[in-house]
Amino acid sequence: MASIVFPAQDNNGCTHPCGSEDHDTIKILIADDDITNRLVLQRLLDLQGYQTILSENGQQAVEVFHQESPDLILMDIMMPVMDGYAATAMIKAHCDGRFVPIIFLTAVTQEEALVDCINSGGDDFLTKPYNHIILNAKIEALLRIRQLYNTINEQKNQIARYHQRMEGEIAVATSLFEKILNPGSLSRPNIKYLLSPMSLFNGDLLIAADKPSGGLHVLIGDFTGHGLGAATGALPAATVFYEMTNKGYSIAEIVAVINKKLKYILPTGMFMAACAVDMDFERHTVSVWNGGLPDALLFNAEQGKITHRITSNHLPLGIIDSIGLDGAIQVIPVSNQDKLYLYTDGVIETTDCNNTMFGQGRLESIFSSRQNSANIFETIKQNLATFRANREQSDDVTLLELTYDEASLHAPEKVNKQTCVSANPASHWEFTFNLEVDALKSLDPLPLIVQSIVEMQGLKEQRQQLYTIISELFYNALEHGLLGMDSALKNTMDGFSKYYGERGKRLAELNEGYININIKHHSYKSGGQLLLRIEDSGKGFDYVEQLKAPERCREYNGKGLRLLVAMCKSVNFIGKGNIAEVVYVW
Amino acid sequence: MPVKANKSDDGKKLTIAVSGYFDFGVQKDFRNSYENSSASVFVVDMKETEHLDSSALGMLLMMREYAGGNHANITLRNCSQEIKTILSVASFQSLFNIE
Repeated sequence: MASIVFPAQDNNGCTHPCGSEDHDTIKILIADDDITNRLVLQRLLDLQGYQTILSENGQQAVEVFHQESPDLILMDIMMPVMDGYAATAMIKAHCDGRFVPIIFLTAVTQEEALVDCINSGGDDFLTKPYNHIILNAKIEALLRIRQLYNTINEQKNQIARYHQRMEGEIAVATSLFEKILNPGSLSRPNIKYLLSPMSLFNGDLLIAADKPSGGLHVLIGDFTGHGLGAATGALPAATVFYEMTNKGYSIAEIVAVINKKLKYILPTGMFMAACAVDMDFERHTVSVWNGGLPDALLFNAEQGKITHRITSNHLPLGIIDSIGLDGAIQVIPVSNQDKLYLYTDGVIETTDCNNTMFGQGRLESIFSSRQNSANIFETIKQNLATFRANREQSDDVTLLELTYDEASLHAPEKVNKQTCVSANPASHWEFTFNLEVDALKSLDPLPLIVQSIVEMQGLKEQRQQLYTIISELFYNALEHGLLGMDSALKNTMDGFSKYYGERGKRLAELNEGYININIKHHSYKSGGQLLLRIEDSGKGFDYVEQLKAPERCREYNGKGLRLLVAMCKSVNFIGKGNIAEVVYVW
Repeated sequence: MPVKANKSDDGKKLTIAVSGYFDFGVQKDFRNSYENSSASVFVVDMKETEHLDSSALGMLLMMREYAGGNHANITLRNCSQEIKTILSVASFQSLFNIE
């Protein structure tokens, strides 16, 4: 008969931290050298329905404990062979995380020994002669604590297992992310960057890749939110970026495809604010597309000031179904050692201990101070760290400095491990593209053409040169042959954007014309040769004079012509100058 | 309550005022305020809004989708200069009426 009422037992055997278990499943070990005591206790416990096991001394109790795993132990103190203190210490040392309550059985005269009971690991004590009500109450109370302990322990183990599994998964995800977002061309000497994610996974994205024609594509992005969720969208964006750059697509086309992909996979409300840059060492330009990031800043060291500011003029990526290819890209002519700064809002929204934001003003003041101009990147980095001091980071922070460094034009091309071309070299072949006006307006055929040649012949190493040659020929046929543009326009800052504005306008208005591209390949024992012939429907130009002094050339792009002459075995113009034939040998 | 919704007498126009920080913390309240409202015209009043972050932009996009995507009629009213800048950097003027 228990004097304390316990909550009703859960019928389906479910353990509840406060409920008591069925008594007949509870095993209680009694350790006492006095047979009368043992039998009295056994009788009391039997009445309550508990299972009992008996032992005559401490040594035996330890052995039985190992064999039977009792749920609770009643332990006498003074016993032969091994006393209760020693037995308790040994048992408690071997519980393996389980909680096995031990109640000491003491005589009233042993009161001074009670402290030792607790010190040796006992949980409670009971004085002889036994009061069955108190005995039962103590057993019930300790069993409840035991159950609570076991529940917590089980939860703890569950968390530990879960944690372990999570760590394994995170390790896999991290290595996956590192491979896919492999810094690629970020290791080029003209790039400095700071990536400071607020959690393990970065919601900011920073990737760069060399273009097949030389030059560089860079993408910096900031996904809504932080952590793994935000980082997931980075994978498809990066994959598209690397593959399309490698195939020679323009930054506008790449941005459009990333947008489409993100719109498809991201849930509504999630998007990527981004800035995409095309650094072109042949045209001496940077082209910037900014959708939702803070102003990109172009700094000219000679003038010691920001000369251009590229403000976001487009929705971030992943919000609308498709974005136009034109208009939003800003083309800026640059001179050697100009520096372009791109950053996510985590930079200007870094807060100090008073919750004040770092802000655009503080950022730009760094540029206007003469003493910083040699080392702006490091100064921004230091100022940010000092400003934030010990405050916890509240957003991913990404900062990028991109130097227009003509020397890096000759940087060795990094082979992108993610795309491989395997082809058994063909020998002799020829193909022709006839592009009519509508195709010229809507299609950029260059990536397709270059990709075809490279894959047919496995010409990975020649890709860059091939792309340059074909693009020079094609753009000259289009811009000067068909559209009648004057490349002298491009020599001034103003003229430059006018040139590209005018080019777009004339292309849209073009009613008739064509460009035919014919490519013939011959294999040699080692190496081979390509004969490229490009014919446009334009009026041609006086190539005899121009070839003598290509730098003064107006109709034909002088720089481009010099480049062609340098790369090809021969460059010839035929007829009135509307047909170009070049021979490229490797 | 940082999010307060007010319906016009005819039930067609719903005005939602967000005070303080418009960020992930009000996400649930904000969504509850317009879902099942049966309104067709929405106004988000930012008179009392101190700051707006990118998750708020995301919430506005979700609201826009709920309200009919390209046919949604949503006005963002009483935007501070700071908020206007954030909205314009993201080119949200092409998706919402900003006043």
